[in-house]
Amino acid sequence: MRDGKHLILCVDDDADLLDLLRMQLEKGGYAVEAAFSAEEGLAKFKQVNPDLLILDLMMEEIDAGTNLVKELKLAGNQAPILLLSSMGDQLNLSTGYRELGLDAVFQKPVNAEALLRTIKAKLTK
Amino acid sequence: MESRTSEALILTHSLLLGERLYLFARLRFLAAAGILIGALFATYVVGIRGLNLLALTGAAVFLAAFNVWVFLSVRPHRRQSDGKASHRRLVWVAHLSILLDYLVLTFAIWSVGGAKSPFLAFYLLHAILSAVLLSRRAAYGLATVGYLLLAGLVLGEWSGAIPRHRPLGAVPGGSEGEFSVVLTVLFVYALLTVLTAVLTTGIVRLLRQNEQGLREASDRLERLADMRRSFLHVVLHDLRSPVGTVVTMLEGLGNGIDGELGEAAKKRVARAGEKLRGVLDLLRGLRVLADLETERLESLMAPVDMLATVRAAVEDQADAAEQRGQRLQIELPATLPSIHGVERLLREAVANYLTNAIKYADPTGPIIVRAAQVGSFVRVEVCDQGPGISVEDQGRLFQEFARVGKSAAQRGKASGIGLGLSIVRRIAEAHDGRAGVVSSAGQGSTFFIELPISPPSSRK
Repeated sequence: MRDGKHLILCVDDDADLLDLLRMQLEKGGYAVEAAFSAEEGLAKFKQVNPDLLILDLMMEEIDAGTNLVKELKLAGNQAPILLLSSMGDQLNLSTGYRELGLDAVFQKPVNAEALLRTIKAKLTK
Repeated sequence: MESRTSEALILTHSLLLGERLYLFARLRFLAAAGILIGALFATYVVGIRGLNLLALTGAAVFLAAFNVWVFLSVRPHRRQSDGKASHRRLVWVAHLSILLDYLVLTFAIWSVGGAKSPFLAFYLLHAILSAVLLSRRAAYGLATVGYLLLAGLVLGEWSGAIPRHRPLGAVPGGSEGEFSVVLTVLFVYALLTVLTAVLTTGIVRLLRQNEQGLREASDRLERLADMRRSFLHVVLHDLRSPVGTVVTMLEGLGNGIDGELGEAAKKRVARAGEKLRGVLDLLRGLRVLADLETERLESLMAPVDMLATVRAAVEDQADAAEQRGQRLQIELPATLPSIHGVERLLREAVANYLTNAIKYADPTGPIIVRAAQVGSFVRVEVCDQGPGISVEDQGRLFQEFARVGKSAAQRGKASGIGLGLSIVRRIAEAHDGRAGVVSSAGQGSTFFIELPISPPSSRK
């Protein structure tokens, strides 16, 4: 929580998308922290202790997203994780995303309303 | 280059060596039986006198005995050589068995007429066999050994060092002991052996070279196809990412994220978003087609619960249906046998039917999604109350970039079926199933996909 708002950490290597995501989430009443890479995401996670995470599945390297999920788990993450994915990316992964215990997977382009609905449901649980 | 060629030759050739040796081993049992039966038949039925039955039986038994060893050594490796070691072993077995064949043959020929034996031509048969089975050098070597054995036998008989067996009725009589006969046999068989060895090894070499050429060409094509595939993957991903981002940006813009837009601007942004979404759909379709071509498809297959898959696909499309004022209705049984397949692709297939129905059906009636077991298949149907599809259109519908031209255009929704249905068909085919449509104009359409239930062995 930050200033009475739920804190969401967004990790995506696409600055435009990250910017947009931030605006939409802030408009939806959330506090947002952004990271441009898996590495930065992990560091920020430890720093800010977010209530929910939104990760891009495919960052510069294949598996960057899924590896981040695993590392977050190792780092003791309890917060829900939402994954953004381009359709077809899953086929190139070495890990099926079901095994990762994700809370939701969104296909890009992400429908902002649906995303906000899901976030709300996850955070009021 | 040279070493690579010979290595590849071993690879190509060894695939067949085990198989051929195995065949020859089985034939050799027949040959042993043939010697025995032939000797008995000749003696007791034809009435040929002077055949050394004991010696011939001994030869047959020896042949059969060493063939048991050949048979047992070859059988485990006959299907596919499991590496260089087993190939070397097979080559060794081939050398030794042909050598022993020559010895038995020489012994048998000595028993049945020596220089006048009607079976002399069997030397040539063995020269051919070794040329087919072995390297050129080994083939020449063994042919020489065979010829030397023959020459030794003929000269030995002539000189009196080896006793003569001339069974009456089996070999022509007269001219016994004339050196000219010996010379003729030696000359004719020298000539025939050389000709046979040279011609056969020449042909075999040509065949092997052709095989090698084909193999290299197919390797090259394989590599090119691989390159093309990964290139396509990269391009599609790199195209999709920015297009997806722009779609999201346009949506944000339309939703007034940077301040409210005027009515006209809002409309234009919405139109731009819609158009770009079409591009995205096309890229998505191409991506699925590219994925379907990967060789790893089989390795990605696992038991799939079609009930969960259908539910997930419907959930994915719920938003889109709502936006178009369509009602999605699910009719599912309590349980369904699992499918051996790629879940994501099967979901994509159902999703494609759904997006089509959402796009083209009249919003008056619900879109019904059904799944059921039909015989040894699981059948998933998407039924709509759309305009229906005429019979001639149904035929083209599942082809790439087909579009039901008139009806769609008339309704001003010609954004195109494009790849959607052909993708469903390809996905069905990749799972040994089929896809199709039942419809008549004005009656709505039922699109279906039928997938074989996984056999018990692959069910887990």
